[in-house]
This record gives sequence, structure tokens and C-alpha cells, in this order.
Amino acid sequence: MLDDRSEDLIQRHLEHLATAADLAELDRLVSERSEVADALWEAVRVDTLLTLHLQGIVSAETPAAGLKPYGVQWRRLVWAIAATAAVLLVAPILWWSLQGPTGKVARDAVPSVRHGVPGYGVTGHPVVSGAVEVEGTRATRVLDDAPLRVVGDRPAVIELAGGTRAELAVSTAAVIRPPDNRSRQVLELLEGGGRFRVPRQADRPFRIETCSGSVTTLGTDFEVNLWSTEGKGDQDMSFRSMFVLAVAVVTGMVHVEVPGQTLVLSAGSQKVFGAEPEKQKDPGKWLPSGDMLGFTGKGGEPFALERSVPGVAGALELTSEQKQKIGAAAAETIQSEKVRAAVVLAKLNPNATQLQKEEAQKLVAEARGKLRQLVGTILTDEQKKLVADINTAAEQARREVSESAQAEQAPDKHDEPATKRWRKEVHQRMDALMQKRIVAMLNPAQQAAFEQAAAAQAAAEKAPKGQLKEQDKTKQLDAVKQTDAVKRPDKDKQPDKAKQPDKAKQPDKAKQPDKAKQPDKVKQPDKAKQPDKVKQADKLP
Amino acid sequence: MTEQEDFLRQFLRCEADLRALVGAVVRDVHVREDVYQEIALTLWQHFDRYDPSRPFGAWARGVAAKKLLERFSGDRRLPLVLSPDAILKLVEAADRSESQPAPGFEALEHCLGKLPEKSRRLLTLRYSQAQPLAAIAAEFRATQTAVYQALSRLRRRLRDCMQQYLAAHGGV
Repeated sequence: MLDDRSEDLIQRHLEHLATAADLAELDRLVSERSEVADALWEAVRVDTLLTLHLQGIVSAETPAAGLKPYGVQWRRLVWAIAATAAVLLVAPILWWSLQGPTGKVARDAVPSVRHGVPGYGVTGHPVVSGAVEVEGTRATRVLDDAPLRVVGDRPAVIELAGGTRAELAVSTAAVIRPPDNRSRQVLELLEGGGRFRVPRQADRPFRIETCSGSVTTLGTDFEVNLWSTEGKGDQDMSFRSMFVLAVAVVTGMVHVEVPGQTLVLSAGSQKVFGAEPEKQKDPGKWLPSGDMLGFTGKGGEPFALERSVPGVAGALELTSEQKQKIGAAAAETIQSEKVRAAVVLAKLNPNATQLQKEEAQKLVAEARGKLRQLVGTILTDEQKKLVADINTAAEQARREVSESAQAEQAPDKHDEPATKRWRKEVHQRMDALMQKRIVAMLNPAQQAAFEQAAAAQAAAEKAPKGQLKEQDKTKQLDAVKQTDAVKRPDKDKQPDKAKQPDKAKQPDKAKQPDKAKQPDKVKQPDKAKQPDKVKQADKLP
Repeated sequence: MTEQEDFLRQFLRCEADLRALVGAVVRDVHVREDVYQEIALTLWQHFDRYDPSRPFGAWARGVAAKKLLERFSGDRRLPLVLSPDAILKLVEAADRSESQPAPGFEALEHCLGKLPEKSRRLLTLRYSQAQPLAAIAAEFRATQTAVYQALSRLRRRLRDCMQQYLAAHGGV
């Protein structure tokens, strides 16, 4: 039996009421007397169980933490037998009377049990809210293995096996796979994503499979998004993969497996996979882009000048060592994981907030500033002077063509094709004059290097782009198209934005952790205000 | 079963113990959560060093204690509530308790079910809604000391009840 003083110190500690002197005394008692250590351990354990249980994080139905779920298994078994019997009796009637060709069945169908996991393999997963189409037809339930797509203007909530709720964003394409002897459910995500609330079940992981990797959990609240990078690359970001996988964990932890990498993500963390920069296999042949070297465009902004003047970076005659150092500087700054992740989220996430976009811009600007500093230490004075001269010549050429264009009779602005043609012509004139002026200032060796780089650039541009990527992507795109087979037969003719969720209509909170469900910080009671007398203790339990 | 599934299964079984250990020595609730997540990651990163012939819980608590001491040694802003010596004694106490089945959530649910409604309400305010003592006292029209004493009694009562349940039903 523990003495009252030790017990009181432990209880004070649990309620955050212990003073420094109390804690020092408790510390001494725990160090010196094993029974006090035992009592403290028991008390903090009960306190933790109460917290986990009453905050709904863990219950006896979702076994964890030292729980031997004999009773739970028994209850599940009874339930499973009852559910199976009900399915056997009811399913044939439901099947023939209610199931349409698309897997649509009535809402009150009974869940089935497969591999011991309560699921909806026979009756279909109920669409709790939002709109889902299977093979182009609206469905209130989705059968296993049926390709689905979320339509409408709001996310769809679908109930999966074992109580998992998937809130899928608009335009998400996915296939729900049945439970197997390893997983309670697998969701094959083809495009899009959403938030997944997975009740804890220690022996049955829930898995999301994508072409870029898989995410496995035994119970947590997390977001997974698979965004297409098609047509999204620009000067700030080029993509090696055709899809980027973004995982954000709200509570608990998940395992992520992507090619060549396996890692654990815990609550509050998010990570983007597939946004790595293009690998430069031959640093000797690689040429940094103009914006890395200090070339500028209109308004003095960093600009990949080789887009207007192919081969311009070659004129600097960079040594292999310089190229390697510039590559390393870029990797450390504008191509760093942090910057790329922020840019990916801002560019690819259709629900990105203005704040996220501004933060990404700020990060890029800071990274560019740092890169400029580093490149300044790598280039020789002659090279830096050449960059400055080229910038001046390019700016001069731009201004001259622009002024002459203003003096010309521009086509009627309402005549869009003519305006477009005219603008293109002005740009071509600008590029040609820039090239002429730049070449004129180069010495013979620089001119030769310039021409060599221009030829290499032209060859690279002519080469079939992303042949390998397309092969990798074929299966994935086929699967996505399958989900559109009926609904969108002319998908290829549709504008890109058709497959993006309507940003304006997406609730922001879908992306944010549900703060309401986060435990509030336990406030310290104001000890000074605590009366010592126990006047009304009889009112309390 | 993959290595990850194996890890997750074992990790979740000792989740409450790890949270209890962190809760016993770190005062700030938010820092607790951060530390807990760090420990989870460390365990996963070092899972290949775990000897399956030994109890996972003991290994995990050992790693957690080391992590706690590493992280907080010399950090005056976030001092640990207990000294390194006391933390090790606490880990030893946890190891001793593991030799016998420990009460879990089913025992807790059973014992909570036996409490009167007023007691359950008090625990809900304290644990589910994380209300400060002052707010709970206001709701019950009692003093904070009375609330503190009621909570202390309830925790002891629950602990005893769970032990009895455990003795009667085995380790649940």
C-alpha cells in the first residue's frame, strides 16, 4: 500500500498541479523506492488509457496498446456470422431486383465479410455523400473492382471495409479492391485523391496503391493525392515523373513505399514524391539553364534565355567543374526538396490556398537569391561580364523590336487569331535580333561553343519527349480512361481543366487537419486561485 | 507479413505505454506529441536492430527513454519533469509490469460503465474535452480542490477496478 504523500504527489503530477518542490520530492521517491515507481507507472498508464479512450483515439473495438482482443474477436465473430447469414438470405433478392448494370444497389444492403473483414464486396460500398459514377452512370453504391470517378462539384464520401471513410475529391478516379488475407481494403488511386479516416485495427492494414507508390496504415487520418504533372512544368519546376504523389498525415502514422524509398510519416508531416528534378547523367554535357547563370528576361527577372536564344549558355564556356558546382548549388537551393515540395503543392494542388501559393513564391525567390550568390562565386569575372553584356544586348534588342512593333498597325484586338499571329511574329523578330546581337559580341571560341550548345539543344528538343515516361504511364492512363469510358468518350478532346476539381467550389477545410478534433491544449489551472478548503466535495463523485 | 506491417502491429500494441512514459516526463501537451512522433520514427528507423526474441515493448521503452534523455538534456526551456535516474526507474517499473498482463481498453470500458453518470461526465470534461479544473469546477459548482480530489479518487477507483477485472478475465 502506497503512503498518502506519495499518492498525493502522483495525483498532483497528473493534474499538472505539482510545484517544483513536489516534483523534486516525487523524483527522489521514484528513484529510491520501487513501489513509488510502480505506482507512478500504473497511474500514468491509467491516465493515458483514459485520454486515448475518451478522446476516441482508441477503444476496445479498435485494439491497440497492450490489448489482447479476445473479447473483441469473439464479438466480431458473432457479428460476422450474423452478417454472413443475412447476406446469404438477402443478397440474391437484392442482387436480381436492385442491381443495375453499373453495380448500383439499394442503400440498405447488408455489409459482407471477407477474409474476416466486414466489407461491402457483395453489396457495394455506400456513397454516403457526393456523386460518384461507375462506367459513366451515377451509383449510390460501388462494387469492388469497379472503376469509379467522383463527379459533381463537391467531394464524395464512400464507406470502405472496416469503417474506413474515404472523402474523395472531385474528378478522382479510383478502384476499390476487395480485402485479402493481408489488407482490410486496398484503394487503387488512379488520379486525384482525398482524405482517409481509417479506424485503428492492429492486424489489418489499409493500403492505397498508386502508380507512384503505396501508402499503408493500420489506422489514422491522412490525405493522399496523385496529381498529374502533364503540362504543369515551367521554368520554376520541371517534372521527372508524370504523376506526383503527395501524402499528408493528420493523426497517427503511415508507411510510404515509393521506388527506392520506404519511410514512415507521422502526424503533422507531409511529403511529396515524384517531384525530384531531372537527373543529369553526364555532368560534362549538361548545361545549366540560363536563369541559374544570371540571364534575365523582361523586367530583369531570372530567365532561361536559351528559350529565345538557343545555345546561349554555351557561350560562357563553363568547365566541367563549374557545371558540377552549379548543379550542386541548384540542388541546394531552387531544387531542394523543401522548395520543390512547396512549388508542387502550389502548382498541382487544385485546392492550394493563396497563402500556400504566396509561401511557395517566397521560398522560390529566397532560393533564387541564394543561388545567385553561389553562382557568383563559381563564375569567373570574364564569364560574369559576358552574362551582363548578353543581358544588356538582349534587353536592347527587346526594346528596339517592342518600340518598332508599337509603331506598326496592330491587328484588331478582337480578331484573336490575327493578334496571336502578330504577337508570335514580334517575338520571333525579337529572338532573331537578340541572337544576332549576342553572336556579334562573342569571340570565335565562344561562337563555336555557342553553336555546339545550340545544336545539342535542338537535338534534345527534337528527341521524342518522355518516351520512357509514356511507357510507364500507359497502364495508368488506360485505367483512368477506363473510368471515363462511358462518361467521357472524347476525353482527349476536352480541355485539361475538365479533369481538375472546381477549385472555387472545393471546401478549404477538406485539405486542412480537422482542428476541432484535435485535443485542445490542456490548460494549467491557476493554482493561486485554488481555494484550499474542500467545501463542496460532496457534490462531486 | 512485411517488415512494416510487423512493426506497426508491435508498435501499436505498446502505443499506450510509450505515450504514458512520455506523458510522465514531459509536461507540455504539444511537446509530448512531438516527442512521441519522434520516438515512433526512431523506432521505425532502428527496427532492424530489434531482437525479436526480446519483448518489443521493453525495447521500445528503452529507445524512448534514451531519446527523451538525449532530446531534453541541457534544454532549459523544456525541462523534463523527472531526472534521468527516475526515468530509468520508471522504465524498470514498466518492464516489471509487463511480466504480468496489463489492463487495457476493454477493462477500462467495463469499469467506466460501472461509474455513475456524474463521474463519467467529470472524466469526459477532464479527458475528452480537456477542460481546465476551473471550468469543470464552475460546471459542477464546486471548488477546484474538490474537482482535483474527485478526479484523484476516480483514477484510483478505475485502477483498482481494472486490476480486479484483469484478475477475473485475464489480460484484457
